[in-house]
Amino acid sequence: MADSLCGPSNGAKNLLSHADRDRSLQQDRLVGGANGSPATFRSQLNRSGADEAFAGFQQNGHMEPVLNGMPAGIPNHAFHFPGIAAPMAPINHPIAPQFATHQPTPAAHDWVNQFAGMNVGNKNAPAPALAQPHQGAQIHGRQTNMGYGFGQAGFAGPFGAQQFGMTPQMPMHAPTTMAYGTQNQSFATMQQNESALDVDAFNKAFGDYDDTEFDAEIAKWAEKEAPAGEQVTALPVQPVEEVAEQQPQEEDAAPRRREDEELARAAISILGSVEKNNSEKFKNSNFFELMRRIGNREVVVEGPNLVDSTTGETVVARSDDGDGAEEPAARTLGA
Amino acid sequence: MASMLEFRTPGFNPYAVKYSPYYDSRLAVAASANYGLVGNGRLFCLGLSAQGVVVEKAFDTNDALYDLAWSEINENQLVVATGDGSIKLFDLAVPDFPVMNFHEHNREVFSVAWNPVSKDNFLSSSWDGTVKLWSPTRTASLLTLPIGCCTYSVAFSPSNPSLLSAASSDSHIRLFDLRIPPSANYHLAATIPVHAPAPHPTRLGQATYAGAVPAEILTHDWNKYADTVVAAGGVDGAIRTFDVRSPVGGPLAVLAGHEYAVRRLAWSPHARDILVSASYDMTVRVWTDGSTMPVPGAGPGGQGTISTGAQLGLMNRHTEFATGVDWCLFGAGGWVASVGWDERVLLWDAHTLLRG
Repeated sequence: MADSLCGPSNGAKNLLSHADRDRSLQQDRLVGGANGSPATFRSQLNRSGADEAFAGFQQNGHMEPVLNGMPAGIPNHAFHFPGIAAPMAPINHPIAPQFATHQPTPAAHDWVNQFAGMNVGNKNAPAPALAQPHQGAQIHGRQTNMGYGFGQAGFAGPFGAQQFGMTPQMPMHAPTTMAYGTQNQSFATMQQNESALDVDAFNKAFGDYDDTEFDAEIAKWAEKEAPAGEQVTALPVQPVEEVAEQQPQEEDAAPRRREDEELARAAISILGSVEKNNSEKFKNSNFFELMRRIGNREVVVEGPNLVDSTTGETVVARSDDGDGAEEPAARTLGA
Repeated sequence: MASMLEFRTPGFNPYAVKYSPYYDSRLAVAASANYGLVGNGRLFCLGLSAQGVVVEKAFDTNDALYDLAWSEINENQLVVATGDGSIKLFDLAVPDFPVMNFHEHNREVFSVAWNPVSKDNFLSSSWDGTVKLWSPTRTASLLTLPIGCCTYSVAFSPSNPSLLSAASSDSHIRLFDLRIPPSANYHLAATIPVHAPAPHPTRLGQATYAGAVPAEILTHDWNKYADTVVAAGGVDGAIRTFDVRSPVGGPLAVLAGHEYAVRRLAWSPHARDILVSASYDMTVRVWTDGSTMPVPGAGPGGQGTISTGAQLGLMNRHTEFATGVDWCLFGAGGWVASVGWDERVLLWDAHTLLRG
């Protein structure tokens, strides 16, 4: 049934709240919890504060998966340190601010409509505005796969991530133009219905300039901007899906980089949660040492292994003294 | 502590250990490379011999292993829960590969439990929010029980083949009775809100018990003598026992002591009030739930008072998170196997702890 009920399954994520005595993360979830239905089995009882908090928790536990598909407080994973998921959630991804800047503000409205009316590019291209629903899907996909995919499952649904999250990985030729095309299409679609009047006005004002001239200018500009030898004939607009298909190799690296990033953050959170613990054991723990190295990006995931990011050597998680590690024969202690 | 047997699982960090229900000298360990972050798993089948603990058999898997359960009907078989969502049935007589593979869960399988009464089926729980009932002879599950959130632990009642329980991240233990028609609630018989306050004013020590902040439950187990008593432990580090006949009646006992989450607990097969727990605080502790002790200041029958039990001993030899613990069914009683991420399996006698 619910694939994502348990949240992200980054290999290190859930460690935090297991180790975290401060349970504020759990309590955060209770604040203002939407109560759709009464907690029937105890509704007739005197309700203490804790009682209500618990009822809220109960209902949240059921509501959140439905509402968000990704409860921040109900993560899961190999180590079950759930609290880490909460710090992770806000990371989201680069597309969010990008879209934010694209939202037409009232001030820019006229300009936007006029611009949309110019119809630069191919009207029949898949409207990138449709990609907006993808935001949700992408976040979901990434978070549920992240970590789980450490060299194993991979990104089961990388579409969203490749489509948008990869802007830095876009090929170097004229990324600006690329973005421009997408943006324009997006506006055209969003504004089409309400912009007819503006278009008329715009055409009156700028009738002299026709689209071909604009296209030519754009092409010229792009040519100038692009590195020598690069072809930019596909401009101004290329369906994003095609772009994604064309650059699978370049973009492959990005999910992995992000996984490493997530893992590093998780590792840091884990360390933070136990930093007050000064016991000898925790200080000498190989696991926490590994978390430190992951947090410092000294160790990254490479296929089925953890490798040193500088030497590329596989990191072997080794227990304390290493003694007897090679020979599985048992020993008797004491006696 | 006097004698202790040690076995190392080089390159693999153990997640679970279980004694064979058939042999006093056989146990199995489910382990994962790189703390289960990434990489393979390995199932160790260990034997006690004059030379100490030796590997009788080892099976490698492509994904991390999180739990295992011995077959109750075939002394050579056991199932493991893997990170890729599959459950594999290994036979000690068949080298290298599992004899059966059960793959229906969409996410990591976290727990498996064999039916100790009817012996012809077993359970699995997964992070995909379901519990599934399987026959060892069929690759398709017999039954799927929806939980709706991560279910870290699943168990059968030791006395009733139709009664099972699942402990999950929403702070609840759900009891399912397979004799109930599935129509309304998919066999759901009762729900225990582990962190809820008791309905009647009850005292815990000197204070009134007001429940606790809900937290994930990672493990639970049925008492082998009082067959209505279940103990649960989780992220908040406390162990609580409940009577399933009174699901919302509040805990019978609250055992506090672990500094971090309780990862695994097991009731003793030899005494009705003893249990052992392994925790992320790197310790393994032996407890009495106080059910055999007089409750100071309690009314008749100890009504209105929650026992705080008592910690009988603390095993501090693990140097990383202690993740698994189990009791040996045989012998004088008191032999415990514990595993931790320090790549060690330790076999020790809990009696030595009790004596101090």
